[in-house]
Amino acid sequence: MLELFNRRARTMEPAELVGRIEPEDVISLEQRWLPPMRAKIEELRKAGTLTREEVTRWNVADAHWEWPAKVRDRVGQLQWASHALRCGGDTQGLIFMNLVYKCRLPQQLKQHMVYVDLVSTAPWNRPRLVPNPMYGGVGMILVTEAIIRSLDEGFEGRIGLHSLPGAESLYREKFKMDCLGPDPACGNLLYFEMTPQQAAALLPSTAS
Amino acid sequence: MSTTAKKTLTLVLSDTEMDVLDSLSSEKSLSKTAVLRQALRLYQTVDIRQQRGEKLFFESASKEKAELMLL
Repeated sequence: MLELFNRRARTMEPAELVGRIEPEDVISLEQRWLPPMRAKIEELRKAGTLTREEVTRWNVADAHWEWPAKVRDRVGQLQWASHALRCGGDTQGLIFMNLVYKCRLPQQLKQHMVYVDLVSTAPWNRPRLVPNPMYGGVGMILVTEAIIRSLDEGFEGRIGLHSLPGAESLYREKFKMDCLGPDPACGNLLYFEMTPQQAAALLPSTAS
Repeated sequence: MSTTAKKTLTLVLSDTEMDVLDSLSSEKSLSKTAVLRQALRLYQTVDIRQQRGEKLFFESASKEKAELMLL
């Protein structure tokens, strides 16, 4: 059973991973996720400090991602897969994956992989944005699900992603992914890739 | 992990088509089902973008571009 750690109550709570982002998740996004994120962006704008460093510092670097429009545009497209992670009666995390991208890392060049296009946690779970964040481990569960999807697709656990600056240590240290450096085609965000060996080390019970 | 309902399709292929599927499956280290799934994803992706008025080009090593009239 999937669980999330409630940092406030210091307990594990049952969570549900939904097979694709559904209308109720978009409602949560529009009504409960975006207002506090946009308020912080507006606060930074008014203070004249709306910079990449500041949005990273306040953990709102993904505020411009337009999740609702992307959900609407990508529905029914086979190249896209998505999940919503729900817990405590609300949507706690979202992920969009692309299934037709290919690897860049020399040892797996042009092999199929799952590309993690977008992954976000609800604003009330974010350290720095809120003083007492609620659930921990949302990003870990969602990116792990991308690895599992890669295994299910026959891609042997290969995944790739561009990391926002605030998440680089997660992919480098927790997921042990290879960093291929900044990508000029993607705002100079660092590009990371996972090999089948790294996936097997992370998920020894499921990887081949 | 989430589960998605799947349906079974019986597919009739010519020898040549099966040879190509075998070859792609081997080259890409994917099952035949995975190759066909990728093919369907790509077909739909190209189709959607062409319906939106976009064009698909291949660029040769000498940087010559040729529009691919696929679908």
